[in-house]
Amino acid sequence: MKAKVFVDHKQLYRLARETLQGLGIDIDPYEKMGNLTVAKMQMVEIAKAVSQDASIIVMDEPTSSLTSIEVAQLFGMIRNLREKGVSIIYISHKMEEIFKICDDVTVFRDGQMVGSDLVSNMDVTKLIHLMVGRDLDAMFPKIDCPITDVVMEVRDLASGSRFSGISFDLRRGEILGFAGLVGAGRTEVLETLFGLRTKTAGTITINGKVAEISRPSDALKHGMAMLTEDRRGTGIIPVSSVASNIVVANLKQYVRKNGLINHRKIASDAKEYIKRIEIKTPSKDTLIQDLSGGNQQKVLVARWLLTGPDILFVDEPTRGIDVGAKAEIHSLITKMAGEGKAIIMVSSEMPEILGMCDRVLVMHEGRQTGILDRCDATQERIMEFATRTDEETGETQSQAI
Amino acid sequence: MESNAISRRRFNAKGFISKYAMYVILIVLIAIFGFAEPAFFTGRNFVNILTSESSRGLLALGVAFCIITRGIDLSLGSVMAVSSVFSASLVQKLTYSTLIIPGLVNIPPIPAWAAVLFGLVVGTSFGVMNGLLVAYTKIHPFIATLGSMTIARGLALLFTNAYPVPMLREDFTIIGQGSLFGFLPNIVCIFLLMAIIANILLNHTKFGKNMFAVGGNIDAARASGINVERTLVLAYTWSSFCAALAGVMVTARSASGIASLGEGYELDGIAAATVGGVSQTGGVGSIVGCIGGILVLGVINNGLLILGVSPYLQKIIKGAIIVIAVVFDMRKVARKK
Repeated sequence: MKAKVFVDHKQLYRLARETLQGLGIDIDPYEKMGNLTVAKMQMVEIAKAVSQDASIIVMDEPTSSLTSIEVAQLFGMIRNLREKGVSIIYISHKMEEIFKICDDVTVFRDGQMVGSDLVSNMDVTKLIHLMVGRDLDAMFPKIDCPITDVVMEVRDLASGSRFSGISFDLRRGEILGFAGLVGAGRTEVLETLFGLRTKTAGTITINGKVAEISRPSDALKHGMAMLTEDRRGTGIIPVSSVASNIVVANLKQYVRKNGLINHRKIASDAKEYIKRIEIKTPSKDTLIQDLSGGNQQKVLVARWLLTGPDILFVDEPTRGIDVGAKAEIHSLITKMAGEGKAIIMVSSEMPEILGMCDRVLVMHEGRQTGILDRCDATQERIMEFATRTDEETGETQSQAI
Repeated sequence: MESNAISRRRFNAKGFISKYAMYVILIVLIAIFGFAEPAFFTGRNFVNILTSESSRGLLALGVAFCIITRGIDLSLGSVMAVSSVFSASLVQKLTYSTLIIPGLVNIPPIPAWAAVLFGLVVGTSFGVMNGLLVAYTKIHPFIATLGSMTIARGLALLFTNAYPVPMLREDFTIIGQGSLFGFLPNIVCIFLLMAIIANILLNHTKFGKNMFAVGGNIDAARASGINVERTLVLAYTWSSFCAALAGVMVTARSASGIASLGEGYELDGIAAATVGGVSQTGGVGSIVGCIGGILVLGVINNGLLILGVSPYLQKIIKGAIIVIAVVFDMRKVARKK
């Protein structure tokens, strides 16, 4: 039995349980990874590193899809590991995390190290200055623009058991934020509106007419566009050029009368958008996979701008991109609202929601728990709605619309 | 790759070499064979190469579309056989004693074009089925087309009882035996014509662009409003149409329908497309590359044959070249994770 050929499953699960318990993680070692939440998957990853007696653990954006409670748990675990003498390299875009958890900080910009110091010698302005090479006075360049007539009315929207009872109006020039914890169903609402997920109840009215949207091409016909959450999964076409990625949702416009593609028009439009929204790319023929995350995101913004949408959904538009590009994406979104487009933005970053949105719809476990106006929206109020239990939700529904 | 038509700027030596590595290999091979055996280096022999590779070349043009959508089509060899026996069965000389369709004697002769059309329709219907299976049931294209490969072969064998379908009328065989300007066989002309059409479809139509998008990232393609299902059905339909055309042309050329026609040809087609840079990871490929791949394999086949290399050794050399070519190609366009 002790031969080194066969796996000792009993021992394997026993050790796994010990490791998990040692870190205070409550997960059954027999559970399939696919059934865990992202936060728990991450904890398993950390347990894996610990079980290998790692002396250095690299964590790349470990909190990007965690709730604040989970982040606190993670930080507890990190402190624990530190006390045991484990070194941790913590890669993050989130300033407050750096100041909360790190001892030293090193800043990289455009592939170069631009500074390194004790965190105690740093402050946020100094850090941002290092990161973008200039002072960033406006992360959220919100410009006030007239919010006019309703373009989309959503009533009692539901998709299976993922979410139900979503109702709101969306107006031209408005940025409506969707806030809530990860897993609250915000992305699923957008997917349903865009025809990527089956609608099981409710009505969508666009410009006064009931719209039947069963696939994304229907949504496009109604002037909708959607910058998806998962840039690699549902956004970029990695082995295609920047130009191809820009025009892919809009090819119809490039078909000549004889049925052939007008390559010259594609080239000139691609160049125009690369210039207009300042996509940093060696050329329009560069493969999109060779660009930075921020620039890939800008290519996707270009893709949807090109379709000339009236309604734009942006789902976690700045996840995993650097501070400089973040501000540029924010200003693009604001500008689009200024042009009279109606925008829904899902974001898990509270400053982004508070800084950008005219109104905020808050969700909790697949239910809409409230809609807050910009002037009423504070971090505390939003969190209150986002963590609200079900019996309290009844009355807020009606006042919400 | 798909932007060949729009990129023409800036000379990049490294990029140039990796982009044209296959043509360098092709020229080197031709030089080696030509030097070793003067008979290789004749215009007549080049026409021979083209003629013997045309049917497999058609399959390569077909399967390239499937591979670009990140699929595969294993049914092409069997589709050739189906279109072969079905088209041949309609144009057997009535003097032949054991007609596949005995009823032919009682009806007016079926025109040759109708027989061609029948073969094409029956063959292409397998592609429609493949496409629907791949697009709507989401089973892996390898399995879907493995199934239809077996079904199509079985159908051809069942229909003919594994007997050949010989004694075809001259108005039908002329389609395969004729030639353009007296030296370019019709099957070569058809192959070149289809290559031009394939290139136009792939690089200059919305369908082509959609195939690249579907192969590059199917979820992104769907989220961009592309009708993914229609694109897939069309790709597999095109693929089997190419095979059906190859089947009919070979049948007319050899004046006999054969139920075992094209066995293993689908793999040659896949090999040619792959050597030509059509990547199995999807979203990458060109028809020009495909033709290069066909020529490389054709030149190797023909050159080794002329040099009198053992056919068994030929297989080993061919296999090695396929693998080496793809290793090089993978380095060229590695998909970043």
